[in-house]
Amino acid sequence: MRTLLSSGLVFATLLASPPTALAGPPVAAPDTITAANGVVLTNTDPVITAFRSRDAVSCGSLPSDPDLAAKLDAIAEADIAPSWVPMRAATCLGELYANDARFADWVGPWFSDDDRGGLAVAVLDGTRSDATAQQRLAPLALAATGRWAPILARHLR
Amino acid sequence: MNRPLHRQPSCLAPVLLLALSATTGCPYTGNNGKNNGDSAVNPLRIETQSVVSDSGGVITLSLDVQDGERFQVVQDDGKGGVVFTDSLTDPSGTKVLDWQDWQTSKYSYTEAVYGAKYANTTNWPIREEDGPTRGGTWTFVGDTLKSNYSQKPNEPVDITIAYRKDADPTHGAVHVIVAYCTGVDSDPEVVRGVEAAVATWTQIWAAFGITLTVDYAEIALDPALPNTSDGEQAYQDLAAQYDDHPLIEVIGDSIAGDLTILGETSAIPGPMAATQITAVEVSWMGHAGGNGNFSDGEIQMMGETMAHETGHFLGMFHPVEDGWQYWDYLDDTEDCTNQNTCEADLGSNLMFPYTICTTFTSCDPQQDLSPKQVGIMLNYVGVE
Ligand SMILES: [Zn+2]
Repeated sequence: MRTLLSSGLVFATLLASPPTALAGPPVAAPDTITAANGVVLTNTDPVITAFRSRDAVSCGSLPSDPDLAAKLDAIAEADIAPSWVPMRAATCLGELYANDARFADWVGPWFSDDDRGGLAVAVLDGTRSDATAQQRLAPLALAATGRWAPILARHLR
Repeated sequence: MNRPLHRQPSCLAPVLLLALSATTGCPYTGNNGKNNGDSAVNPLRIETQSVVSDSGGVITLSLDVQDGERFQVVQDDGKGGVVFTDSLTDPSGTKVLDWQDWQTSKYSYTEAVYGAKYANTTNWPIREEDGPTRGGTWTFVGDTLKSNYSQKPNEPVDITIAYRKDADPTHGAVHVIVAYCTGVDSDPEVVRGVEAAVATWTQIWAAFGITLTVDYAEIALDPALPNTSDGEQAYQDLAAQYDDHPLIEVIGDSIAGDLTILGETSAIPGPMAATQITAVEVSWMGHAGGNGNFSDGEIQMMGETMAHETGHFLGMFHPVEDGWQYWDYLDDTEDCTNQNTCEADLGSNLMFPYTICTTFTSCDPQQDLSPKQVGIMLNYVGVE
């Protein structure tokens, strides 16, 4: 869904087991991702597992983490199924960490990237109760062009 | 779904008297009238009444049920007050549903006994083994409550009672209106994804004998949807346009301004009568992800979300809640007690609370239902 090139991320992937010879069993899928911000994610990370719920997830009751903000940024940028996992991470990043010093650097590029416009909408929604954060994001949302422009505009409060 | 707020004991009230302010009995003759001449089959009949709760906030109704009929009572406060189901008693005097049995239970049976804002729905039978119903006079007792769950006396409530009896109780048909919020269907990629997801949902339910007939509509509503349980007049207005009480599936960008919510049902079960909470909501954006384009896997996930959330609306709970301490009240879904056994026994179930993904990018299909889960859906009176 999200490509490495378009997301600007470089993932170092580790194989769970080494490739085998021809006609052997299929190569196991990588089970860790190292994100651009240095966070190492595993497929069974408790935050990822929480985001895989079918029903609503509360950002306020996510599993504790030494640097949850960085983990949310890493999850938002990663190619993780279901697609709502990165979207929920972006929402919670907006809801919980709009005042983090790294926030603008993390979310800013999403507003001008067609392949990540949905993350920009998600982060806008996450800041829905934070007028100051919305004010800071408004110029980015209003400067967007293309398919996401009208959608971003209607998610500004 | 989150576990609902349970009723506080302070609302215990003696059943006093029926206070009918007006009665507008209204035999239904809508397009469900596929009456095939078999008098044992009743496609659908609807009664509506406007009542006022008594000085203790109690509503008592007598239901004239024919042998084998399913029925649904919808109490519609219409103003956001809490309405509650106290009990249901069959013609022999047996209380078949009593709220007190469920307040602290580890099993979930119906949210009717937890109370709901705007409208509360009691569908009977709930499970296969709760039926078939005995003909005669059934007694329904409900309450009108304040937001703190203390009694709210003398409160007007609109009552809709629907009765249905089918020739073939092993199969069902459901009419669905998929309603796009303003502007959403102007995006061709969204329309493509939604239609493909609806096809997946149709396929999932068809495997269990439930046929969907789907029509598409537009609803004049901001795509940033409210919570379904918060009530929306546009839902009532849309539902009221149809005689056959379709399920309303609303497609928006997000729900409650929160892209952590993928889909949402107003209640378990939800009302088939036209009320402000007669809807299931689905966020297209939550499924399409950051790039807004639907892959095949994302379409499958959205189809499963539609089937899962609408399954709640028809009365199904999760077979087990995350935490492994609460279960549905069915004996053919395992009462598992830890993550490993729950995922092994129930992980492929449509109503499992979360998706199971063995790698970062690959999630297992969740499209199974037990016979008794299907039985709950077939007992929902809105299912033909
Ligand atoms: Zn659910």
